[in-house]
Amino acid sequence: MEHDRSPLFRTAIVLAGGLALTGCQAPEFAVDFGPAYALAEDADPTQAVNGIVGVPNIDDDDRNDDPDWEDAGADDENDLSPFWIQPELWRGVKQAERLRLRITDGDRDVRVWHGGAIVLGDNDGDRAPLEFELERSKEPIEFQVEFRDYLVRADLELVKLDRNGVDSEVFAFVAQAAPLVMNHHNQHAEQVMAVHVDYGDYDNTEFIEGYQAVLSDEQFIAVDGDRYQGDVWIQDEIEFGLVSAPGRRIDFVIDSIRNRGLDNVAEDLFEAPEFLVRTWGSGQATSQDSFGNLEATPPFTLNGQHYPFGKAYWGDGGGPYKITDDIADLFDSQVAQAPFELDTSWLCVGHVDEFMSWVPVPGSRLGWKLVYTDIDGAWDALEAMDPNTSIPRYRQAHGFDTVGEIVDDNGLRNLNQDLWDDYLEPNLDILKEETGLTDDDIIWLPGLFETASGCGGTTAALIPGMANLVVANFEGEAVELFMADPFLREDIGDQGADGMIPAARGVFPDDMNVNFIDDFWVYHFGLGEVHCGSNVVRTPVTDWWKTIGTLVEE
Amino acid sequence: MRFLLILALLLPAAASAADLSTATDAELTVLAADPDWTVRLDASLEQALRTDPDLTARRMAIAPRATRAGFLRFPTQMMNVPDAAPVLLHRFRTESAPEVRGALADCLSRLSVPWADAVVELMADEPDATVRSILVHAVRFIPPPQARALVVHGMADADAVVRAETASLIARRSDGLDFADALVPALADPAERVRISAARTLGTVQADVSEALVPLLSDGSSSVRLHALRALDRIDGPRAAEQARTLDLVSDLDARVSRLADRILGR
Repeated sequence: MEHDRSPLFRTAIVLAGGLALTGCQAPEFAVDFGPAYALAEDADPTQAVNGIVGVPNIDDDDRNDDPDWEDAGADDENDLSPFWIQPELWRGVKQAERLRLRITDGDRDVRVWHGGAIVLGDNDGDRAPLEFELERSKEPIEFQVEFRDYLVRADLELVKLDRNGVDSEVFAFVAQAAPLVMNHHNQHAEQVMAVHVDYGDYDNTEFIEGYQAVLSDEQFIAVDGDRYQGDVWIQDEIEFGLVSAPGRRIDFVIDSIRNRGLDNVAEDLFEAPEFLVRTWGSGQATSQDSFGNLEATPPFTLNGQHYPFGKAYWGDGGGPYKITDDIADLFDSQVAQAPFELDTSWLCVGHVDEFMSWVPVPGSRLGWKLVYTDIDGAWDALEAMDPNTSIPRYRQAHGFDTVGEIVDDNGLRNLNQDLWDDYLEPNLDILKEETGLTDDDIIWLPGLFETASGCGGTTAALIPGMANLVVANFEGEAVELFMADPFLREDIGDQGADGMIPAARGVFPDDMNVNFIDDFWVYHFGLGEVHCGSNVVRTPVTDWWKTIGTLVEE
Repeated sequence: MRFLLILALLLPAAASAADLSTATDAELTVLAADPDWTVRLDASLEQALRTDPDLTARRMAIAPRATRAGFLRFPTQMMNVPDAAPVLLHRFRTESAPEVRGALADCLSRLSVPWADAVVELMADEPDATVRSILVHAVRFIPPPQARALVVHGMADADAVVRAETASLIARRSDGLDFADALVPALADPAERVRISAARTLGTVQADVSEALVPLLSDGSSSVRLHALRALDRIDGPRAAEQARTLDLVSDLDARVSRLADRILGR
């Protein structure tokens, strides 16, 4: 879209940008987009939204169980984006001239309110007038924009008509609704959660205590497993996201169609007028519909385009084993997180969180690094250990009595080499292509896989999958990583005797606290790890309107 | 003598052949070493009940849990240690739900060394293919004679997943080369996954079967071509290079095949 810079409005636009930056009111402003104004001075005008941004009015402020868009003018409404026509604008308008606000596109997706009435756009299903004539005023004239859905957009014009009623000057701007985005691992943590089960034979108390030993009661909550049929896979049931605009935040739980014991956890723990629970998709879920298989990279810039929310990605298990089209379509349509796929057909569970993660590394080139499974590093660490080291957990769960038995297992060695060649390396190539990361941006974390029984020849972690980790980066505090205790030792209670922990700890920056917690029976043996059994509410990333304007406008 | 002892102990039980409650500890010790695994099992169970009745009762009652993948397992040490094997076997024989038998088979496969004959027999009798595909994981652990029997069952299974699992598990045995003869016919299996597993394992155990692998380099399945080329490379690198060149596998439409061929030719 060409953005008109007519003499009448030019000054107003620039100054309004200043307003958004300083937050102060200056009388000379003619058009004041207030907090929703996008052209802040620190934004690249080629990437910013040029106009008003807001959140879609899909929440339920009046608590009548209908989205507020369906109840035009809902009580307690707080999701409209205001802008004002300042009285100074009239100085350039002669007596016989008039000013009109006009909507030229998107009138079914946007409403413009003035004085408690809809003056432009959708009028409860009917079409409201497409033009609204302004009356001279010595006071600012307030309008409010309401958006029907994520990412909808309308084109608006402020038009000066000459004495003959002909357009003489036009200032065009857009009204842009926020995309729905999901969180990535490197946003500040607000709350970590896991499901506690303690049924004697099915007990993850050690796991819960591993979190509680490091995080405060406010930072970590143990969800009562009794309420959820002992379903501990809370990563798989829900994913957190949000829509945001200046001063506005609607949190989301994207509730998967997995619908096992934790089916109601989103509604029980989070649902509120401005904390929405939504499900995309229906019918028979595959494992790929679990949200350990729906993740987002941290933010980055690639080929001049900034991705402030990173990119969404998920695993394709091959054939019918793929994420529901509704979720794929959702993230495709939101464009902000330009999704891509990885090949997870080699994994029994088939989730992208089984072999990789992301950690914040301030001062590094990108501010974060990819944590990726290192087959060779695992062999190096194992070969450095005493081959006679007894490993009781592996005897019980994997049939290996000693470290030497793992090292000498040629079938296992070849399997892992093949997995690297056929899947891990090609997936890494995709990640590099999609994000621009380089080898220097990778933390290599030892890990091995083996063919898991009951999985039709596909694989799962042999050494508890440490890359399946949780980043607990509370603002102002040191980063705490939580990952699986590898248990490569005889004395289960003595992490100091473990042969793998130093190798794993050593790959992370010194100022990052790495906590190895016991996830062995309930999670690892259940074909998941720490990330699979946890979830994190995170502080949203905002200011998307400064950097992905062109992306969403496309 | 042993026969008479068994007869004396079991006959009075009539409907319940496992009723050894009147046997002495010494008698149980003898029965627990019986060549017939069913006798051993009954005796071992009775011993378990006497040694730790609470633990045995818990093992009898414990329910498997859903894994992240959805199928069932016993995610507890209690069911994954050798002295749990008699309970696992007993429950396996009496359990009607295949999902639960699968969970029991998962534990049993790793604890199968003293019960190898039992596993072979249970494998032959098991009606559910998924359970068989789990039980066959005992191939990794059990002694060669029983492993051979289990491989014969596994490779002749009507279900391709079972055949493929059997073939791949041979690669995990240090004496896997001794089983190569059972794998060569599988290179012509109608199921792609079986041909893949057989080729991979033959490559890992470095069986002298290059000639048998060469036809698979022209297989209609690119995954079969991939694993056949890799296996051939592990067995005979120069031969793999020669075939990659002859068949122009660097131009294979599957990037994995072309990349591997490129690597082989680049060495």
